[in-house]
Amino acid sequence: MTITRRKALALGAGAALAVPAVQQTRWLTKDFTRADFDPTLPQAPAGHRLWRNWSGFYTATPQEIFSPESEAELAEKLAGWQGRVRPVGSGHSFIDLVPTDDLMVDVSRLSGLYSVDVEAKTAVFGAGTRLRQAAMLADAEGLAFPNLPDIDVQTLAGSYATATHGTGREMTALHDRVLGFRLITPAGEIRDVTRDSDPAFFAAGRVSLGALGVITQFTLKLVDRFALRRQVYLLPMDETFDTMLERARQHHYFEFYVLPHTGHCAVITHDLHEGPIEGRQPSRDEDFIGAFKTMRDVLGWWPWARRKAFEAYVTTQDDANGRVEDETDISWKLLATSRITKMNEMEYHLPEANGEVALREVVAAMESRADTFFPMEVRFTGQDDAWLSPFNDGVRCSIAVHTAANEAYDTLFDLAEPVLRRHGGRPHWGKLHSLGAEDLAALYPRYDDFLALRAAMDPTGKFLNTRTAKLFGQPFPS
Amino acid sequence: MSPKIIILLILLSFAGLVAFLVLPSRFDALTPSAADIAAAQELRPNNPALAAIYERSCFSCHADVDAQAPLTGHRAAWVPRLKARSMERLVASVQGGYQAMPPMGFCPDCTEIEFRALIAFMAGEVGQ
Repeated sequence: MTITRRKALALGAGAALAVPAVQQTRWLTKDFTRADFDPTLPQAPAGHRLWRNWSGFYTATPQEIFSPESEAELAEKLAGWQGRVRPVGSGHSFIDLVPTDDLMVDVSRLSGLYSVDVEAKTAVFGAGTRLRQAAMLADAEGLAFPNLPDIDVQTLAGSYATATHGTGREMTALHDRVLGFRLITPAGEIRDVTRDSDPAFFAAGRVSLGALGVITQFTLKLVDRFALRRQVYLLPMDETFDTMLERARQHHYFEFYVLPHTGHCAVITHDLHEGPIEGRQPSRDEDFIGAFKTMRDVLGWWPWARRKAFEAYVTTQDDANGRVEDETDISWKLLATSRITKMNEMEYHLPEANGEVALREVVAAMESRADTFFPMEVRFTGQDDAWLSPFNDGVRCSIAVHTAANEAYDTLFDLAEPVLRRHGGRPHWGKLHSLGAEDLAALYPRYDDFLALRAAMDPTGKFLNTRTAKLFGQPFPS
Repeated sequence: MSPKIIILLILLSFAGLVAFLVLPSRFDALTPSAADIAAAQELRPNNPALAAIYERSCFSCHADVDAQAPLTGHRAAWVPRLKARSMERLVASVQGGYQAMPPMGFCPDCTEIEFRALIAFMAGEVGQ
């Protein structure tokens, strides 16, 4: 058979259409749900309770979830309890710091604003107060938290215990506002701790993973109530990466989300605002996450089209600077947002100077997989001096990677974590990571001091679970 | 038609697709108004004990429109739920956890009676 030029062209055109059609069909039939994903809750044994963390990744069926009404009641309980104990906040950690089969202590009844000194800008809060409630109560007194994380349903105790942070290179992590705390030891003794009364315990206790006992109240240093202007831009990735350090210096609060396979980032700035407040509009974050997932589900096999689709969308936005949001409100109403789409998350805090290089590598690694779609978050945090604070040696750049809760999370551990570790990253205590005691001791100069203090406070390992035992290099069960 | 115009049309159709995807998904009677959103932040149960539970356990999500939980006092969101699923099933959802709400809805110490009272309050029944 002779192949004429016309036939060859027709065959070529047919192949050119057939190949994408096959690839498209194949991609559309993909199921991204991981094989071991099971949304059903376990049945708690008779007499036991059921607990689940926010992401649904961890569940537990403790013998008891104890919600003390008073510190005295808690002290008595701890003194008499012979099994294991783990404190629980709002269950927003992505890693298993909380699960236990024995006793979970929920401090949410120890909540609210106990006292305030408006002149000195100090306030005593119950440790179980959730951040949103605490911010609202402070606001009523004309005071504010200088910084808040991007979600605010965590308790004060849970957020401080894990070194939860917001963003802003001149801003420190939340626990740096602690002037003092009251802790019930594993033996049931009540201790009041300040920087002056016990400097070592103060340095260890502010970020302590619920390992030294149960903290019941905090004395905090606040600031005057203030308003912010929030602006959100969709900017090209390279432009964002090139200017990230400069922008972090320019704005009080600066962060951005890398939007994989779109060539763009969503850049968010908050700056002090004086004047009339317009109020925050309902967030569109969830709509965007849904759109990124749909683009992955439909066009994932064809990265060029995925990128061009989003680039074309960006050109339809009115603002020539790429600005898609501009609003003003009281600080606590703008700094935190709600997260509806459940995900698993890993976050490492890197020396600021390594941030850009590491980020480019992480993005390249995550984009090497066509199935990634979840935005990656980049933030900055200033230095403090808690022994286990990831930020205790200077400004750090935090890079967070996510996967949908029902999808594979191997990208976090196999692709992102090696890069983040290689660039000097320290893991967020409340998020997924694979580190053990030896790794952590190499990252934290005072780690051994913390371990010694923990062993002195809890010689029988009452406050250990599988995860904390790994972090502290302890056998479990001992 | 020139290749340039074809490419332009393709890009515009892509933009339309993305714009459609990021459109807010709630454009119906259940969408709370600005007044509903503001009211949710102010409402509290009359009973001080219930108000304390509400503030520590429910407020973070049910007074925040972005949490996408039915807003406190927004009857348009609550009435259909109560009709379709009944108070018993709503209480069961709190106890077992539902979507973003963890088992026991941030109140492990709450009784079934307290959950009923909190739901009734959030659903806009005055005087709880």
